[in-house]
Amino acid sequence: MPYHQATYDEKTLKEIGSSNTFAVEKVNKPEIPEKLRRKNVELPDVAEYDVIRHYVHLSQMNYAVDTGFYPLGSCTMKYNPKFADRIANDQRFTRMHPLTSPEYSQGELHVMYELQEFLKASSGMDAVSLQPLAGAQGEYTAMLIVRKYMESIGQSNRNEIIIPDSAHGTNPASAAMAGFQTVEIPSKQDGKVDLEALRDAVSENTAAFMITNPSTLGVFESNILEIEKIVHGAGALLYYDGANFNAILGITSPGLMGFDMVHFNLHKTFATPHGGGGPGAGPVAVKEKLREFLPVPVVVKDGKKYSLYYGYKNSIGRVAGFNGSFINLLRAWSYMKYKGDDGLTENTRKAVLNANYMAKRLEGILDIPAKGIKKHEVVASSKKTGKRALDIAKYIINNGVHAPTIYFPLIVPEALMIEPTEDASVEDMELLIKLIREAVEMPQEEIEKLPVNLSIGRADEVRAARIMKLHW
Amino acid sequence: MSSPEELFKILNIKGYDDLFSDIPDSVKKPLKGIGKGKSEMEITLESESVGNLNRSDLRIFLGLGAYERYIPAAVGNIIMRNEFITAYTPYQAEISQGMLQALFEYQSIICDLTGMEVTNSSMYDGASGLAEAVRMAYRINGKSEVLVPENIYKNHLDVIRTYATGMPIEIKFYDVNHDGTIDLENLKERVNSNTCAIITYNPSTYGTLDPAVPSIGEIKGDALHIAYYDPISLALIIAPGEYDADIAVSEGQQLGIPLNFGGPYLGLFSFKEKYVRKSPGRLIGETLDHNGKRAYVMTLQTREQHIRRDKAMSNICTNQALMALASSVYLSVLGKKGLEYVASKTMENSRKLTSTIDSVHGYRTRKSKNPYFSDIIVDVDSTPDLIFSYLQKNGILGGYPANMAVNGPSAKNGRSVFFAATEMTGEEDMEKLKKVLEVF
Ligand SMILES: Cc1ncc(COP(=O)(O)O)c(C=O)c1O
Repeated sequence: MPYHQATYDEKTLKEIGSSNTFAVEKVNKPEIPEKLRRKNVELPDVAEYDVIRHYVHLSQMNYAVDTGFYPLGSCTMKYNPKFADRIANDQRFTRMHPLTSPEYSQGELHVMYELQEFLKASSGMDAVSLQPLAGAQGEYTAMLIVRKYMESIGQSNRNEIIIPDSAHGTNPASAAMAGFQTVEIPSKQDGKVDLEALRDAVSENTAAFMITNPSTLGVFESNILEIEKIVHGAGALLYYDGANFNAILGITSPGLMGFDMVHFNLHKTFATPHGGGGPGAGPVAVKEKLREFLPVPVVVKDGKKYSLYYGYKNSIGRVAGFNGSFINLLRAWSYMKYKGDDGLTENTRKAVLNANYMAKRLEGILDIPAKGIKKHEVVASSKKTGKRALDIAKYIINNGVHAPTIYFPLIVPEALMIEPTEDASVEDMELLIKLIREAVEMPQEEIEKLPVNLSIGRADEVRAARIMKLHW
Repeated sequence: MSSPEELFKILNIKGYDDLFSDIPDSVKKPLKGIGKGKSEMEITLESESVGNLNRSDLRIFLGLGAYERYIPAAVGNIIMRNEFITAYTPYQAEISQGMLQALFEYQSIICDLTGMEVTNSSMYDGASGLAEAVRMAYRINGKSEVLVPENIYKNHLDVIRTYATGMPIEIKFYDVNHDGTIDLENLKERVNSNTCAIITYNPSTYGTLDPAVPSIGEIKGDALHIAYYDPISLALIIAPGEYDADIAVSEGQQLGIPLNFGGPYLGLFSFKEKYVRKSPGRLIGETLDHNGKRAYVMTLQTREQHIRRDKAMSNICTNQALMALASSVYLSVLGKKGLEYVASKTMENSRKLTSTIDSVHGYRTRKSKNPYFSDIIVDVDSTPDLIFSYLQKNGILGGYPANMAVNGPSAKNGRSVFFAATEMTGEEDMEKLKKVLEVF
């Protein structure tokens, strides 16, 4: 039977007519000066049973890792083990105010301290800040560290960040936010860094080079040691975008490759659930010479006691109101302990094996611009088939599988970026292959009508931007 | 048929090593430092004993941006639904209508709550939201001076300073009265043609409701008014949209999110529609599908990093979608009546807490003709640090030293501490607090 998503003509909460049922005790309305009084507040007026039905209906119109294969490239949609949910909801952790003194929050600090150590060990770095609240904020934090470091050694003239054209959009956006000029360099056809272009781009104004390895085309940058020489030789820093860490964890590390700094996406590599778009967590790790630039506080241990350390004189300051995305840190901590050194390495191996299997099976169906061994994902192009990546994606979702990431990286025309992760079976991958093949063969006028098996047909994005209806 | 060995055969390789032959041997090294893997049972039991190292049983009399509030069971029930929590950003609109509609409704509910025209689909937290508001104001008018109250929260000031790095933005302080409310005359004098934005707090960071905040429009000139509010208070207290604020920001933790030791929380971020193209973060819009049926999509993405790259309005990609969902469930289960109850009960408890504290020798809540909402600043005779640790030792979280929480003149907060009440603060708790304070 073809896939059919639940379809409700779901009203908005504003349109649901049952009245509020939330029971409260009587309380006197406080005296409030006239000038400060709220005239009228409108909120949904819905019975709790209808609130629940509403959201259950919406959930049934939402695809997720727990409903099926989710090969969304660059996002590492692996399975999120359920024991971590229970730990994440344990009041011993959740009923803790962020301003509690260290003496009375030793459990939280224990988790944070161990996680700092785990992230150091797995990245080959010397110091960690857990404060950044997502990958992009981790990048921004790192760029501020670059800036302050360059100031501290009297080289504030270094105001350029070099970024390959294959990079994720958050890289140039984060660099620009930190006040840098971005210098984009072209990549080679296979997605690798063009060493000549890099050599030409570096100068006495270069502050850092931002890359991810494997590149966003899913292939390992085998010239990484040469890149390291060029960048460090020019007096700049080397930054690792950790979004692709699931490809190398346990095999090599940013530290071993010569990087100075890295951000992690705990919601990718360390299985904290993506939450329908967030929350994530984006800790940053750095080499010793950059330690004192990290956001404060960090957790330190003295004997058996943990405390918060604020003493880094060159700290870039805070990026978050409190202690980072603590519950996500807790989830990642429990996941890392659960897997251990060997389990995490096994994850990497399986993720890479699956991506290579996908690449092999795509041969003859789609073009794969980057040749050779893949790491955790494979980027294909549908250009030569005459089909748009968008249409292929709609065919896939119409048949009950989440589509790969499309139109990223920008350097591949009609890109489909497929990341199976370690948590995919051959059956899952074969289903995707079958759907891609069918999509490519489908007549254009038919595929354009898809999807038809989902709660809505193809949505008109142009209209949305034109009418700009952003609330009810 | 999916053992690794079978896949090796299909790939024509001998084993895993062949898959990593592209990585130079000189940089290869096995992972060490996390330890041996554990069973689910072992890690669960271990987490419980680690959790026991926390004093999660303290009676909480502390706010300062993070409040213990009653969370209806429905909230946890919905946000733990697998279809929401294990999904990601709705890149393929048609298969993710559920989250898209939920986020559109979140934007709508927060617009209704604040009276503002547009709300984005979330920022990381209140502090970074405030800092992003400053950056947005600069993008809008290009002016350089940002006026903040001298008693601004220290963590907010820190994050604003961080986010202003590399921008020609100067932070200037305006005076506040003894009760923390704005000294309107002083502020007026400081507004000039270089003023980019004025940040206000209602309630003030000392906890008092501030009658000056609704008057900012009369003195702001060409500057933007960035209003930081308390979302619970808006059931009773004038909302940013009602006094024509340009950008309204808050911490959404109070709306159905546990204390969580500081995160994940939720940045509430609203603004006037005319500024939408300068705004950070993701936006969900309503549209039609090709059959004319109502549909929701991510929209105005040309402001965002994946399209605009170094010219983007922000770098935000992953946001706080699940927390936005939590706040929507919270507000729709409570409804108007429920939220009014929570706000009223909070104020009633603050009043009771004020008299409880005043009845103890050596503790004087700061006098004001404006009522306290939740936080309360208290002048003390003994050393603030000692009070704070003594109370924790005795099972109470409260009495946080004011000079650690807020910026500003030590004449106003050098010998003061903070307490807070919410709808959960019981009379028994207050009795206990009184007893403990009396023997200190
Ligand atoms: C390659 C890459 N870098 C950076 C990011 C940004 O991370 P986050 O979404 O956690 O902010 C992503 C996220 O999708 C990514 O794929």
